[in-house]
Amino acid sequence: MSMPLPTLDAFLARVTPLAQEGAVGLSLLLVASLLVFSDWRFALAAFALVHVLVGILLTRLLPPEWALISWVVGGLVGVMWFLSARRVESIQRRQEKRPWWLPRWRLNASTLMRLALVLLLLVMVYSRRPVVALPGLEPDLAQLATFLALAGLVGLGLGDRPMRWGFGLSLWVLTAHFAVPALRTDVNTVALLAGLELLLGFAISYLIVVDGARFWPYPEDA
Amino acid sequence: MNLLTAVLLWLLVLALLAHLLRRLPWLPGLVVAAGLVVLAWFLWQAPHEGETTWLGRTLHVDRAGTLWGFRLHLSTATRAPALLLLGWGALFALAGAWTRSDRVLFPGIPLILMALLLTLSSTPLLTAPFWLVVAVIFMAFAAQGTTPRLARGALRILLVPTLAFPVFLFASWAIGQPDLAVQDPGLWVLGWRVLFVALILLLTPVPLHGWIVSLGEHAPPLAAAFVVGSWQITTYALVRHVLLAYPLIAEFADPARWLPWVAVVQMVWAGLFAAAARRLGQLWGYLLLWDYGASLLLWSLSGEFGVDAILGMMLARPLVLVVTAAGYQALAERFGDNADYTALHGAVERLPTAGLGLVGGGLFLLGWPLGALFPARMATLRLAATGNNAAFLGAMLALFLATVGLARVMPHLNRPLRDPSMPREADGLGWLIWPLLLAGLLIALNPAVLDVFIQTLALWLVQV
Repeated sequence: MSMPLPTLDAFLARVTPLAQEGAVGLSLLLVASLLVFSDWRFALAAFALVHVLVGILLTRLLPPEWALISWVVGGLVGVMWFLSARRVESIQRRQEKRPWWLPRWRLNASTLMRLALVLLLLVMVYSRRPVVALPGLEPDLAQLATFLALAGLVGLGLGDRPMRWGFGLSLWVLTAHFAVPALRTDVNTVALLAGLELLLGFAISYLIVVDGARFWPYPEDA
Repeated sequence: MNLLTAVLLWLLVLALLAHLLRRLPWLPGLVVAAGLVVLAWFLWQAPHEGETTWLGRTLHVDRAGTLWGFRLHLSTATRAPALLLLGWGALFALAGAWTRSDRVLFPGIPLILMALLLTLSSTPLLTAPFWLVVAVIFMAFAAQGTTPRLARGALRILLVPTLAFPVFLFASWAIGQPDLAVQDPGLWVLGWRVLFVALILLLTPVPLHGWIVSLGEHAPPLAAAFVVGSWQITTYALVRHVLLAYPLIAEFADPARWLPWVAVVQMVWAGLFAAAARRLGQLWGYLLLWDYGASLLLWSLSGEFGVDAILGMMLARPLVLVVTAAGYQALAERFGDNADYTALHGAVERLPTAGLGLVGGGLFLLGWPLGALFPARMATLRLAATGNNAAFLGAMLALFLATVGLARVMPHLNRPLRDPSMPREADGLGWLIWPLLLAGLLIALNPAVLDVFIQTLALWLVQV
């Protein structure tokens, strides 16, 4: 017997406890992990989950129909980046005769560096509790927004690969998703921020392919 | 239909045409250049109020449109930077067609211009930087090109407007509420300070200058020069407009104090690294940064009194940039992107015009005599010498260092030929570089030749 899909109201009633309590902490952990993961599949999954949680948290600031735009945007961007990264890697692995889906675990100096910087960021956030307080933004959301901004800036400093920059820029825009609607609830602003993230996602997905094609052993086969 | 809609539709059609013709060798560039010249001529002649006709359609010059909360109107003041942008676009499209540049540039130019014109035509002014983000997304495609290569340049273009846009939104909210000054003075002051930060971000001071250098190193040379130049024209017009619309910002951070330092630090930084460069792309990137800083310095020292000088410089600048970029592009095609100096064997012997374009164009970019930028650079140094000794010393030091950088590359270009099979440069390169050098010489000897354009554009620009 199939279970009926919940209505939006029923769904919101179910996720309200999560929006009030667990989502902020979970978002912190997921953001930290997406910056550390060396394999793009796991990083992208963490990115998608962050967008799901952000959508749920935004229901505290915005009407749910607007808040859940974060899901649509995160989903579309995630799909674009997945297709691009998969195209790059599937061609590379086909040429190397390895399956595309097999994760590539790397514990090299770069991963350790990312781990160290993210741990430093988490320790700093835990001990100093930096918050940019804005009128209308509850303290836990303000703390999350500040963390997202810091994590975005750290992410931008972690290398020149397109997906990592995409994560960094996206985290910065997610900060604005909290900060700006808290100041003025305006459908045009919500749409502009969503449009901004989609456009950036589109550009990054192209750059993932053109940058990644450098690593194909035989670029002429593509 | 209003004027701006017609302009945007025309640019969109040009981009589509260039995309459809992209497999052909030179036609898309020629189509884009011709289309932009026609559009520029139309805008130059169109009345500033009432109605006009374009391809049989009546256009309402005064009427504004609305889109997503923006009010869009191509005002008289906007027409001046719009014409500059169209002129730059036409010249770079033509040069790209001539030198067989990366084909992404051709549809890219009209799309970039569309987004930049939307930036300049939008109100509310403090949300207009949204269109800058759209512009840099198109710029990223042009900067990356179709060749698999490191995406550093394209990625770094995305950084500044993305960082700045939410900051502008916050400033717009805070400044847009006069009651806030009484209710929460701290937040009101923060709004103005944040606006200052947002403006500074758009001017990309050191250490946010990396996008310019990365473009020099990793983007096709003509695309890099066009992107940097068109960004600077747009941000000049936008920041100037914001400063005039929100004069209270001077109470919190006086542009007359901070702007020269932003420019001088960029120039000295660029000079230092140009002098120490070991690769052609690095040198080109730091020359672009030097030029960016020098243009900013002229604005910062002359302010509103220097509108004529700035417009003259922006009219002459693409001639020199195209010469330098075309020279570097020809060298990069033979020796690889961002080639090490030690690899340049036989450059002068087989690619003399390209070498001349890079070194001669580079010197003229710095403002040495007989180049198109000599009058503008001389005016900058004179202004600095009379009003700001520290800026003058900084600018002279930067000029010396960048000249050393260009002098250092000369012996490497003159290295003996190692591979006798290396082909000579294309004959067409000379037909691009020499006429531009001669045009530059004409401007250097008689700067008044541009007066008819400068005076009209200046008259339009000040009508904010």
